[in-house]
Amino acid sequence: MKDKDLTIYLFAITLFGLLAVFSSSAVFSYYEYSSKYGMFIKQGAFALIGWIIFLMIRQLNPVKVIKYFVYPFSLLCIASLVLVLVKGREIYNAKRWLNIAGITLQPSEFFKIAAVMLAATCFEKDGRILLKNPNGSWNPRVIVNLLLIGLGTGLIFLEPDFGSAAMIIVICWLALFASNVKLRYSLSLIPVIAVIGIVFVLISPYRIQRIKALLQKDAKRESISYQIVQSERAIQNGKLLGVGPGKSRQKIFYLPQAWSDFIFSIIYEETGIPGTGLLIFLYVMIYLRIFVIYAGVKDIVLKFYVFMMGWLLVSETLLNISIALGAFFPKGMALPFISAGGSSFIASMLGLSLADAARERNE
Amino acid sequence: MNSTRNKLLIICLILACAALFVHFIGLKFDYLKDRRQGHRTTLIPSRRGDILDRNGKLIATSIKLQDLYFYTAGLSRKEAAFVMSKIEKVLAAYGADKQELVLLRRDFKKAFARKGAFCVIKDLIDNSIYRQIIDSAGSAGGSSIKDIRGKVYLTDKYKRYYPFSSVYGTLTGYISKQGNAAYGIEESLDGKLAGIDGEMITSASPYIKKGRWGRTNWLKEPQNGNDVRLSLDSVIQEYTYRVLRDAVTTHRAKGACAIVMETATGKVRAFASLPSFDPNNYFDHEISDYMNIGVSNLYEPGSIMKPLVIGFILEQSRGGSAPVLRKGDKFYCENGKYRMENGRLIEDVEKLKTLSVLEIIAHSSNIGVTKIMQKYEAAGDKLEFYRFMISILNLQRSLNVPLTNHTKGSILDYGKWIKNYSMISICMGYEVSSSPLNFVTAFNVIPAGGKLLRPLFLENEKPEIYTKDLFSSGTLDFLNEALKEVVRTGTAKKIGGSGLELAGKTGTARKYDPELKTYSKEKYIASFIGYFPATAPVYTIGVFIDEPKSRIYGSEVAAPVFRSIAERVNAYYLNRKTYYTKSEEADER
Repeated sequence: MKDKDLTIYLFAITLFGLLAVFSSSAVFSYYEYSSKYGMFIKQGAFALIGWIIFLMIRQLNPVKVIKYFVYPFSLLCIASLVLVLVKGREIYNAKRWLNIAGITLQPSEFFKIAAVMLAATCFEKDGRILLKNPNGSWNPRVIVNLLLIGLGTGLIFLEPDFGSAAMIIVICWLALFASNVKLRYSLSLIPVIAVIGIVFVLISPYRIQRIKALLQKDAKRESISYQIVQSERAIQNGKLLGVGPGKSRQKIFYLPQAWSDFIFSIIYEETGIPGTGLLIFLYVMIYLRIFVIYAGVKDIVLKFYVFMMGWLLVSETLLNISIALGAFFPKGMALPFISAGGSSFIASMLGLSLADAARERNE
Repeated sequence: MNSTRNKLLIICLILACAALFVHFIGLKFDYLKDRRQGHRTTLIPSRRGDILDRNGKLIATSIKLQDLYFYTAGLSRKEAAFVMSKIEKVLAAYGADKQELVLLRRDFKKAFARKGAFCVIKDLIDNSIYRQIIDSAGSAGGSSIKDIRGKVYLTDKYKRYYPFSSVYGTLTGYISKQGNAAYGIEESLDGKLAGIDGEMITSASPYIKKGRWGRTNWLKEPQNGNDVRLSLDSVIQEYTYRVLRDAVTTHRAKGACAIVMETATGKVRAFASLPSFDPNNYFDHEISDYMNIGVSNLYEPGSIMKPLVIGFILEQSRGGSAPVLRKGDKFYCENGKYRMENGRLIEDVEKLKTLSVLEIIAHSSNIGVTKIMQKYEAAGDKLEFYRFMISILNLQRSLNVPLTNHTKGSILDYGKWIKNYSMISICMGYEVSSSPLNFVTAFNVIPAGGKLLRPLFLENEKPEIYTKDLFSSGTLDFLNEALKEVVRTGTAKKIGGSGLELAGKTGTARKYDPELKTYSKEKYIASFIGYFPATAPVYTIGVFIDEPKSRIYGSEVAAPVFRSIAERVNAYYLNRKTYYTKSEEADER
């Protein structure tokens, strides 16, 4: 028996997302593809693919899937990350997209799932990580997994996609923290991660600008961080009840990426508290289902997988909404299940399908 | 897994959510207040295609004009008043009177109150006024208006202009003030002539300003309409119109119409109808003036049907062992009065004795035709005659002419035909009605060598033959001879003897009076359809005068118009054509 509630909530949020993508991209599509349905149809196709993958993979045995597919899948992701650096499509000074047969893919989204799998397989049955075997030799599985995660994350750093890379590191750290590994290991990693983060912020001036923009609440702010100001304008324009579906002003070329990174602002502008309330309710229900699954899973690898998958989606959601509300500096971060973009949606569905399958194994 | 640490993480998550919620509640947008954001889409009009005559002369064209607007929003009272004073100054220098300026100031006050725009001048052809206003209002010292061009601006528009005014009025129709096509070619070819208006987006968004999408800020570029080249010839048209107008004035007629058609192709070279109207000032006219009576009015043709009917009977008689009618047959025409067995009285205008078939046509003898028809009704195929009438007058066929309100006409239903009555009426041109264009199209069969051609209005259309060989060459020669005789010695002899070889047939039909429920004795249709040069026809011309008052006969009212048009066309075209042919040959050598 699959998790019926999860399926229903996922389906509802998919429809919500399609409507939101249609509304927020219609003007842009009309301008770019000379049809207002341009991006909506594309997203509909991605949703279909995502659902087919979700419905198929959850039929499989997740333990075996992770065991046999973790390395081919990770290597494929790393290979495409290399390919992205070599001949990827450059948008906004970053090479994040790979064009395969007319479809633009973002390999980093898939690598997130691969990293979660790799990290989950590091753990032993008692919830610890054995760096060294009892006989003193290095544990090859853990070493290889950590190297692969490091390699992939490094490649994502190079794109540059600071947000996704940081997300992977944070999720892995969370797993480490919540495991039975001694606390001093995970805590001692905090300064290391913090130092790396600060260095990365300091070496690129635009990141400093973005953080500055968060603090500067006056007219100057617009010149520093155009996106945040436009996003806030959308929320201001939406007031409490929204301006009505399809009536967003900010989507008309004011708010960049209104259909992906900043889709939450447009949803708020058009539907106000009721619409965003419904969306947040759907998110809460989905994540609660994941938590229920997590609580019931016995297999330790699966347990860590579901744990990290859940935290990945939760943090992405939270971060995206924070950015839209101007509480965090802007990063190219998709809103899970909602934002236009095939990679994010398909990767999320792929990740969730294994989580859903884990529940069945359990009962 | 460590449940304590897990709980800690969940508490952190909840705290983060709570923090975000608090942030949301506390969102303040005060700093956004001082800058407005909005966008405006502007309709950019497309240009409607021109209507050209066959030689490329403009019959209808669109002229680009501009309206000058003053947009008051965003200006302080002082600034707005300053700009307004400059506008008034420039306008006064250009000769605007006081009352105009008073009205303008009233508009300005209204517009300022609602922070909107108002039109300063309409239909500007030359935008030097605009430049002067911009210069004087923008350069003045102490003015803080940064973007005067955004405040005082021009909008494009197109105005339809018809250089020939009423000459082509009923043919072209007009474009209303709202921009809708009405009547005539404008309406029927609207799909081709009309363009698609464009849309431009004006926005404060830097994404638009930068052209971030790599394009101009068009939402939709305007697509201009296509030109239409008519088969009409302005020289012939203008002359036809003038002659027709004179005839209407002279005979105090209700209306008139004249059609000049190229015999071999069916291309219409002139199509004048009266009453007409000036499409530039269409609103000064009544709706009835917009109608082109050449296609919209139904008339009973009268005697112009006679040669066609006799041609049909001759054709039916061909080859049979006992023919109904031979070319050499003679009929006694009863000295002008003939009472039929059923008591119907048939009269001729002239007192005629024994006439041959050819003479019956030439003198348009009703009695002669009646006797021929009586013979045919007794021996011939009546249904075939019915079909012939429908076919030659195109009563069941749409001619696809690019004109509005074309009416096909009708014939008395075959089942309702009364013996010894209806067929006789039909061959004299009653009990059957159609539009003048259909009559000319039908009559053109004789000079065109038995082919029924579709009347064409576009220069690049290929001739279309509806029916081939309606008449054999023998019959055609005979009819041609008879129609020449009409001009030589028959009813239209007054127009003969000009040195031009003319051929044709007069017609005078009583109009049916719906009030009296019978044929009127005062209202007539005088008509003449003919062609020239008679030996090798080039043009077929039909003239219809509706309700002439001073004189009623086609020979007296319509035939002179025909001759006048023919003379002119001959002088202007046929002579010139030979000249051109010669020089072209010389070029080739």
